[in-house]
Amino acid sequence: MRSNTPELLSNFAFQYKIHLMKNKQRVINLYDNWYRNNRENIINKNWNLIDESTLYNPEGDKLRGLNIIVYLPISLSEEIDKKILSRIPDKILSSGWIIPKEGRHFTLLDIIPHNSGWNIDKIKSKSDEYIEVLDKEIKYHKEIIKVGFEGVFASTDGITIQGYPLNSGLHRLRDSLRKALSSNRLANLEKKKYEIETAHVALLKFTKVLNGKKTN
Amino acid sequence: MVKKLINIIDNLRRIPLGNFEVKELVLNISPRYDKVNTIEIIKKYKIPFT
Repeated sequence: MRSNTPELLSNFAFQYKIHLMKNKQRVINLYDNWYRNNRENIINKNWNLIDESTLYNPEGDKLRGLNIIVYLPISLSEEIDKKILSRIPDKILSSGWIIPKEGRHFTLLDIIPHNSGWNIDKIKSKSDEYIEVLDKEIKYHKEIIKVGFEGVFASTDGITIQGYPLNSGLHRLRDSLRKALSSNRLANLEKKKYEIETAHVALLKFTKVLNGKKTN
Repeated sequence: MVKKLINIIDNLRRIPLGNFEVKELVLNISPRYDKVNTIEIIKKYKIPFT
């Protein structure tokens, strides 16, 4: 009897490819919707500026969060500078804070968002419990995580790079961490903001309206 | 300037920028934006875990 294993594998690979394409399309739709809504608000000049005084004075901003992030490789950040920032006029760039190359990241899990009302002492008092659970869960994650970056969108608060999962690694890790935190009764307050599916990277945050005037 | 921003962004909506494989996760306490100066790194995890 002839084995049909190669055929099954090829069918599985095909189905997996379709699944990934659908996932990517879902994330593209998310970005398109974000931009569509924000585009209108930008045209209407409904800015959502960040406060420079807290940005450059960490002591003035006591809000902290607990999160897991992934920094972008510097080579990718350089590509972003070359392909994106170089095409944006100085007048626009100077209306915002450009996230430095070494700080560009996407958030894997925003466990305690910075505006959740938890102070730094409360977060620190719980951090050992989080480490214990995360250690165990991350140890079991053996799948490679691949992410791709394609295009940007603008919103009323800045310019963002669009990141996409290229395999199921990112989704599976997020999912397993969410389940582990929940089953260990550790707070995961990301839903208070939104549950992340994407791998978006903030590139610039507007600190002034685009005519150059400060609003505060 | 708003129109200029919209035109530029509209033209850069699908520009390929690159891919990478995640090698490290950073658990941290930080404010919303600054992940360079104000960040307190609690632990770094290598991926896949070795």
